[in-house]
Amino acid sequence: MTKVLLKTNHGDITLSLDSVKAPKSVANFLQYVKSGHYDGTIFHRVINNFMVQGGGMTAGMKEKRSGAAIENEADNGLKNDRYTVAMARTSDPHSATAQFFINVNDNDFLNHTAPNAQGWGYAVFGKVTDGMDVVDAIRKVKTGSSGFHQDVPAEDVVIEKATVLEE
Amino acid sequence: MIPQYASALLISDIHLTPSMPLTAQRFFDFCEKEAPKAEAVLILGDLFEYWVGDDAASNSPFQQEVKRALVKLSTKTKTYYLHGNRDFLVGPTFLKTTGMTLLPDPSLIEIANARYIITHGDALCTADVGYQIFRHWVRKPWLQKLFLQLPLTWRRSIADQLRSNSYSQYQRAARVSKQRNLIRTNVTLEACAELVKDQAIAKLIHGHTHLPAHHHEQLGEHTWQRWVLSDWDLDHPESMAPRASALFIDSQGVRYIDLINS
Repeated sequence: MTKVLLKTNHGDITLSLDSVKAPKSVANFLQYVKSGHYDGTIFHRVINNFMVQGGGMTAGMKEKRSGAAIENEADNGLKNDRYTVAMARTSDPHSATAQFFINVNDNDFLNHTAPNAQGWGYAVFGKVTDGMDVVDAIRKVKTGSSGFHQDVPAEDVVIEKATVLEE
Repeated sequence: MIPQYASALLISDIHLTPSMPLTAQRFFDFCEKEAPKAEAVLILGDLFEYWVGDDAASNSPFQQEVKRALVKLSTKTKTYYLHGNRDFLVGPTFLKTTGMTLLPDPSLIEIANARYIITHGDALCTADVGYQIFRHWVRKPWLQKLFLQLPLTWRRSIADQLRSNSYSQYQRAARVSKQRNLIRTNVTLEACAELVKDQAIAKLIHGHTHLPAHHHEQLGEHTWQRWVLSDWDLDHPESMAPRASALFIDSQGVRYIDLINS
């Protein structure tokens, strides 16, 4: 089992990644972990009963350069259930790069229903196997608006270091 | 004669359109699951993203599904409908097939022995002078009659243009609403006071602004409570937190029902 440790300023989160069902998403995520991309990024979009999203911005809401967009693997059967991790994207289904999110609720409406723009859904590629309490602490932080962004934590929630534990 | 019910569910701003299938599905589920729990369901406008006449797309699969849901809803509970700023052209043909009763905007309704004023809410946004002039004209029956006689393709293209305008406004409103500095597209205290001034107990419910909240407000000698209904959007999770709720009123009082986490 592939495992990644996210050391955050709220505590440690361990992610177990499913490289069988989501090979492209996992390979993409690992590449960002290994290159140090996530170090110093923040959870910049935190919605208490929905999800916490990060991996693309640094403190002060500066967007970090990321690589090429990957194919959306949302049709792999994995569901956007509580504590699963999935790739974030724009309204284009195949636009995920580095940003990911952790579901903090069973978000059925994010699951794949049809191979079109409206029904593609969001690709789950792993789940939180340790540090659920840390995720719960993050989802409850105070948020506000920052520039064009809503739901931004008032105090930065930082991924200090991301490391591969097992591969 | 004011309609009286022991319980009611109020919704608005669902913006039904084939391009928002998850939102539409939640509405269909609402008609099956939550709606029958109330004696009456009140739809306070903008049920549809746009409406260019009862004859438009009346046979499309999406319209058929919407119609089926509304017809079924009307067999389980009394269904009322108020025109919104996007679907004010919903006409007698559609109302008749779906079994919904049209109420004038604003209207009075009595739920669990308390009176409420219900309105879509766009007429209360009196700080938006440009919009009020637009509204004044498009609500003229003779102009609507003329519009409905235009070929469908013309009507659609006019609607598209108006919609692209209001959509960019809506996005902007959503973005800065939390900073509470966008006064122009919100309701004004003056307009609310004007509406409640003749009511002994002033309770106002509206949609339109997409800013769901319960307010206690005052202007001069008038005080009132105001509940704002939520819009529904489950189809843009990448930019907006998914949201859908209804207001439920019975003898226990008024409360919001979250339709996302239920």
